[in-house]
Amino acid sequence: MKLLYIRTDFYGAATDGGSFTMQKGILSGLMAEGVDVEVVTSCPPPEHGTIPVHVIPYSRLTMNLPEVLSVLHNGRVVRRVAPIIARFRPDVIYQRHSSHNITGAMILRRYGVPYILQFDGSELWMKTNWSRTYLPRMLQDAEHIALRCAALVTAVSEPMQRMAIECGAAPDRVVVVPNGVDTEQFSPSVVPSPIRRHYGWENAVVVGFVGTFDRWHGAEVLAEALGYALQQNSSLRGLFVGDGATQGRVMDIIQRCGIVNRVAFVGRVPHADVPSYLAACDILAVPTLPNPDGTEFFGSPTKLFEYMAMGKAIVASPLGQVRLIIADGETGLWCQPGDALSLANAIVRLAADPALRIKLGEAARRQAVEHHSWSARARALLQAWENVRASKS
Amino acid sequence: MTNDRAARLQQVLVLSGSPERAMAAFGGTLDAQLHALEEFAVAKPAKVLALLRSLRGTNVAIVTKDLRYQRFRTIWKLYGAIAGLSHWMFIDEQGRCDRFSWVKLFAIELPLLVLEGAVSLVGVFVGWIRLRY
Repeated sequence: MKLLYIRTDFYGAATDGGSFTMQKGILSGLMAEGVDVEVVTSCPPPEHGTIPVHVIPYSRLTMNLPEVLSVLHNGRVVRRVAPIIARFRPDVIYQRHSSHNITGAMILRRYGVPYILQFDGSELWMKTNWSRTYLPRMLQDAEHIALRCAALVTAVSEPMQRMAIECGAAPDRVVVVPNGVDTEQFSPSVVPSPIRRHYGWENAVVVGFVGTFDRWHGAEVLAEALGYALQQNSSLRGLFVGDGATQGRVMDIIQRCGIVNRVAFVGRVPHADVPSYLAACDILAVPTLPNPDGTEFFGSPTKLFEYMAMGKAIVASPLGQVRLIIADGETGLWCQPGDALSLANAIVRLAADPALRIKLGEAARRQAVEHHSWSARARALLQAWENVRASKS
Repeated sequence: MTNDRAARLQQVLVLSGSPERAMAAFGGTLDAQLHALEEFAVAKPAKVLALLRSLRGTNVAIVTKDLRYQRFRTIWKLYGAIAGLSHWMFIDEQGRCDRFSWVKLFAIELPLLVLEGAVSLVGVFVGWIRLRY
């Protein structure tokens, strides 16, 4: 089977974060299952090892007005992908859904290649709730077309599956394929980063967070929680890996709480280095925040699966899929979403009980290996695609 | 070797990327005051102009991960011009620099922005028609 993965959203020069991890993970999982994969992207490609990557760049003339570049880029991609399709002859396109992106539907019409849509959330919902849209009707129509024409839609969670159906996907064509983890890259045997020695934290209990500091990640709540927790246990330290939109606010909170000397920000690091930073931590946090409009949290945090595979004690907001993955007291501890005091209490409890940390970490690792590897995700995707093909024939 | 112009920077606005890496690539050290900015703050002119006006009379750098992929650059330059900033530039982690110049703004960047607006109008209209039919 030949699969052409198309990701043409504008992500600038960023090549780290959950969506890139997912991309690399699922593609390597598919290759391990014998699928022949090539990639089309529109910005600098993330590291993909031996997978051939073709870049179709954005026009330099559309860099100053919002959303327009995405609208105009559809035609550009469909024209320039022609020689790649002619040479590679893919059986299926796997297209990542993004703003105003109907390249999959256009390729289907022009070249007759069916596509699987990787639906990571409604762009209309995300822009309405987290940023802004200037062309809402057009965005809605594009989303509807992308979902309606797809032979198969993958959603990372059940709430996202429902969202896809509400936005126009046929209910029998949407399957849930959550994010996953490379359980060899992320494992308890990883050599820890020397960061503990660097900061003189050899005897401290280090609480870690890795992420792109997006609004729903809740890094501000973790910063606040560290302030409370340090009042109860002075051996705690905080380690933030990554950078992004809310980092400035997180730093302000750390300053306000007077714990600047007990918290370190290492900034954005290559994904390959993330395991060693996680290995240097004792407790890992997933302080995800609820959706601002009260709808169910629809994410599938990549960091959660990476934390589990590291065999570390996890404290998490039990929202959406996180509640299904982490069993309170068995594979991690729950805290109230958005409640810094609740998060602080869970951290303090784990800090005081090394045996509990080991027990939770081992159970989480077992779960990750048995159920949440990228190979398992790739097999689920291929099975869903086989079902679609069987139902058509 | 330290670049004198970089060393004199007093205010650094961070859109993306690492200010330390950007300053190192530019040839200076980071001892300026840092302000975190979101890329989409560009859609909030009142807030941006208030911030930029407060920086008038200082040397300012806007840090971005990679200048080649920095969207809304001309809009930022317009804001800077309206706010009365005259000594400022974009810098990135690879050492690229785009220095603000009134001549460049009026002779090249604004005409290109007008052209972009016209192309965009046509493109969005055609895109809309194709979506509907």
